[in-house]
Amino acid sequence: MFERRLKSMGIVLAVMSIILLGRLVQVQVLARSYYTELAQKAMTQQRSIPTTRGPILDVRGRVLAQDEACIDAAVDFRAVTRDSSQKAVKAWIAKLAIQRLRTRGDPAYLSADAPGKRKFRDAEEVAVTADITAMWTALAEAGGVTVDEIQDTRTNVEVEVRKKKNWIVQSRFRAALDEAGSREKPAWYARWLAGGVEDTPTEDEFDNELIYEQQSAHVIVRALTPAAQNELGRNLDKYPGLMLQPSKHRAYPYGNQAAHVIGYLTRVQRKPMAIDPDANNDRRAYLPNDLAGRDGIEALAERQLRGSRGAESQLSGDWASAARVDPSPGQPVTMTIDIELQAQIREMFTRVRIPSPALGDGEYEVSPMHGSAVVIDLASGEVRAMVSYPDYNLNTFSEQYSQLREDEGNIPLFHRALMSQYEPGSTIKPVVGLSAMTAGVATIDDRIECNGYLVIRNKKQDRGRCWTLSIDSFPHTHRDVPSSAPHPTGLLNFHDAIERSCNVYFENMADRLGTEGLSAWMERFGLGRNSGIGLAEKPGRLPRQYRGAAGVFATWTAGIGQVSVLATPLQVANATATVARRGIWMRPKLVRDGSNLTPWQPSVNFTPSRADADVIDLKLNPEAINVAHKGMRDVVESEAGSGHSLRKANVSVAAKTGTAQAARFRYWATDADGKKHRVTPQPGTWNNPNPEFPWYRASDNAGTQLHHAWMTGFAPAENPKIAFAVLVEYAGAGGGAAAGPVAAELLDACVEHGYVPRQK
Amino acid sequence: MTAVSLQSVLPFRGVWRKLSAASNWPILVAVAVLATLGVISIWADTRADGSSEGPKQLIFVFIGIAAMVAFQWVDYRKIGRFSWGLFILAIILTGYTLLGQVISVPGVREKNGAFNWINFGPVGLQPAELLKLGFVLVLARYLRFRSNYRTLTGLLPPFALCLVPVAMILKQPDLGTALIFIPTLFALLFIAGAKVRHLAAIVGLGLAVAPILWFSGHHAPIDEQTGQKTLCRTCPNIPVLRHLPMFVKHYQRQRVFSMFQADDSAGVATGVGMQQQLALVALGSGGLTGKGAGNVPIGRRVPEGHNDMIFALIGEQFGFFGSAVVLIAYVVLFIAGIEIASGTREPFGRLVAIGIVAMFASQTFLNLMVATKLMPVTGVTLPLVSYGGSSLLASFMAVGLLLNVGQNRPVVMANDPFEFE
Repeated sequence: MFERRLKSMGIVLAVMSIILLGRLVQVQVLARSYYTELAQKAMTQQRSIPTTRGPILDVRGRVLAQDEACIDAAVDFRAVTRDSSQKAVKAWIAKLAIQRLRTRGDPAYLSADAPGKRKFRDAEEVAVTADITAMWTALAEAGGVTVDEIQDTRTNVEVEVRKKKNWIVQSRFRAALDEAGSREKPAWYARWLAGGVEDTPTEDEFDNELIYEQQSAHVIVRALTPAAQNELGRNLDKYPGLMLQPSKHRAYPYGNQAAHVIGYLTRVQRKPMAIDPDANNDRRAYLPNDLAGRDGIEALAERQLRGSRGAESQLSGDWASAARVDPSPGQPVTMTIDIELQAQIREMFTRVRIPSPALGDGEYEVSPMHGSAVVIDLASGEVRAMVSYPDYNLNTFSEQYSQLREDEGNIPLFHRALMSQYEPGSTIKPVVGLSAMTAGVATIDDRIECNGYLVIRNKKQDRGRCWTLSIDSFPHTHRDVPSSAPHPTGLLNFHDAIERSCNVYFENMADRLGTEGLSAWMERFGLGRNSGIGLAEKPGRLPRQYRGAAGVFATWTAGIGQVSVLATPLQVANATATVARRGIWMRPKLVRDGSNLTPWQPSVNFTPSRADADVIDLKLNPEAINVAHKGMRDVVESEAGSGHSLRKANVSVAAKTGTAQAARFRYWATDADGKKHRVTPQPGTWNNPNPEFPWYRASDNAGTQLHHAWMTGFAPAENPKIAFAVLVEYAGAGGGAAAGPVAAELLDACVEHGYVPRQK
Repeated sequence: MTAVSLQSVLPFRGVWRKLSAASNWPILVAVAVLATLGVISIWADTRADGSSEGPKQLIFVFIGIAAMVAFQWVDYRKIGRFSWGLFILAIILTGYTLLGQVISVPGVREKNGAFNWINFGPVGLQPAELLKLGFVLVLARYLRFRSNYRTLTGLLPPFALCLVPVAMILKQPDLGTALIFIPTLFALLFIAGAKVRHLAAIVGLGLAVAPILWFSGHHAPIDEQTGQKTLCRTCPNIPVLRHLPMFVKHYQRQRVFSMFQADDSAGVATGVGMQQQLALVALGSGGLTGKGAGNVPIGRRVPEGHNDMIFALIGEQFGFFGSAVVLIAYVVLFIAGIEIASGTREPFGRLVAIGIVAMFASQTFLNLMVATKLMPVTGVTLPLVSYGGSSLLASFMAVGLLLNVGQNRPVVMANDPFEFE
């Protein structure tokens, strides 16, 4: 029996061995190619090679934005993170401490016994932690920023790494779930053994491994100056985890110019990542630390500017030749803006000549004013200049961002040319008139009497007077104003009404068109809707959208561009451009050959225009157009016109002045405690200037009348090449007086740069 | 089969005979092959700076050989007299490590979540290894002449004797080592003559109780972030059983679950499943002939590659042929051990031989099944191959004992024991 039992035991052992042998055959013989492949995958290290973002050029090929090589200060994540209880962080600090002790070679340490060495190590770990704290101050100094900003950067890095970790954990977990879902369910006994719980994987399993970003360096200060590089590089051992890495940063050679239009880069946000069409493309997909265009052309042309990364893979431990795919740089994007022209125009806003009667008749003072100017090339619809002042320097944008954002008084980040909605005022009158003529509710010869008071359908209204009444203290009419060229009869036709900017005429036109008709026509000229230029813009407002209390009065005032109508400087410029082109509306463009640009990653608030076509012929009444052109020329050239200030331009120009009512300026300021309080500054008057807000001026001495000054037009008058619009906020004077000189200089600049032939 | 000891006048011959080199070369060859493969693999498992535990293991091997020689020098029956002493000593040492869990005692420190070791300066000792050997000796001694284990109640004392070391080792906690005791106990009882149906009944009882052990308790860990108790969803939470203590821990369940998961790519598997998965990849990518000695690009990354998972490294270096050789070496060892047991009439000797074979076999098969993902990870080393002074030493001592039994076959004139039918 004993022998039998021995034999049984032997058989049991034999059976076990055969099972094992079978398993070995299965794994090592039958499935060996499968495992070899897995082994290859496990051993291959992939590294991506960064690429260069495409440059942004202006219309003449000058570089507006490009990547430049620089040295960044990067710090290992284990020093950046504030969660020092993590095992990985502690292990890293301990390792550093030991390294430092060893390199120092202190004989006391080297000869100490185990507990003694432990004491040394503990003390050194404390020193390392202290050095890390000191490093932040050193980095702040090197980068020319405050320590708080460094701490903010740390927080951002931690947040991004956590996001990436979650993303990786999620995707691995999801991959494992998919795998589990697509597998056949295991046999009933396997399920029973596993406790009846689904054998699906759980997230915890994937959370324990450190991802690459948790063990690598992250940029804390970009683009160190050479002095800072030297300073940090000399004392590298004092800064645990600090690495000076070569890298690229985006340089904007023109600094402030066209800042709003060019846009800037920020770390890519979650929403664009979610809708990225390249999400499955390893070389183009966004990584959480990548920079992407956030505004302006950088965002509009993001897909074109963004290059493809290269990839390098090598078999670790084998050092086989690395397979390499070269990175391909981003494509350059050419804008329609002429940056030199833009710079000149922008500079004009820093020294606007404001009439100052207090200093004497015909005297003016020079002051920086807020405002905007747009220049459109008529033949192509390209925007040659789009100035919004005040602006900011793109090179220091990220460092100064919080300051810029909190500057609620000046709002430098606000793109006034596209986002600021003003009453267009009298600049809209040619549009109203042309609409009325083409709609057939009036003819060019219809005469309307204006004696200053609004008379509509033979009823005298108590509001809506012509501006003639507001000169001096007794009523005037067109029959005696201006004194050098009064109107013979006071019955004005279309030409006269434009020349003299008569309110009553156009209020009547508005009445004849009606709210709906007027709104429809204004919309055709580009008001009340986004132009589709590609950047974030506001649509303005049409009379039919007005919800105020004024009723039919709102329609009349819409005829003179007030109360119920709002427009941005771009819309006014484009409407004038439509008039200049004799009724062809064209979508304004900022990018040359931009037809295949699709803003998939929308810059803030970008919504495409409702108009489908890029070019629309409004089929305006040709005779009316002639009259309108003549009228606008006479605004400048005739004695009765309101735009004399444009006479000194080196080119003949047809223009329309405008004076829009402005609301009182108020804003919320944040004080040192972080609390907000409302600030209502006093507008400067002729007798009481406000040096704190030199750009905020009242048009009267009491400080109650506030106006924005418009000047829009096209040049040369007989064969127009460009259209323009200038807006000066809170000018303290009328359109002709305040915006006119700026427009004149603007035209001279256009001549200088060759966009308008010189005539005088 | 009775050996006649030829007392030769030449002392040289006596020494040679004592060393048993001539009579049991299969065992010696098997042990040599295993130890060599072990040293090679451990040497190949280099850390980042190129060093490995290889030199240390080589020293341990030599010490082990010395221990093996020592254990077969003296007649095993003389050693057998100290069985209880060895066993008690091992129990005390194990108890010392358990004490180290509760209060802080010199030499005992937590390592990888368990209190397995006693450190004497630079050298460490695992009392569990000693306890295994002591248990075999003590049980063999207990069972050699008794006859009352033919009844069910007579089986109680051996089980009680097994319970003490198993409970202590489970407390360390070291599930793998504790598991080895069960098959060893059953093998010894079986060979000693316990009735099969009794043993089957006990096994059946164990299987019936197992589900209760699996499904009892509930897991309510404290969430790190919120500081509150949350209910773990992968652990059971059954109305009556949840109030019992949790016998199978959370991490052990994870190991069981991960074993049932697909062999997906090593890149995706992380955490619990990674170790086994990488071991499989290492084994599989070795293919038929392996990548060559010293070449373990995947095995290097397997956690405990020099230790529990060393079989994966052998498989990677030497391929299927290498793993088959390892398996054959062990089978040779076991068969030679059984042969030794069958060749001697002395009951203690027989039981010791079988006990040692059972101990080796259960540990070997347990380790190999974990390494090939046939069982969830348990954490036992591969005897004679894995890195570890205590394990190697205990294994060599056991082999020495085995050789001892094979070499000293006393002449017995009485009835063969163990023959009841």
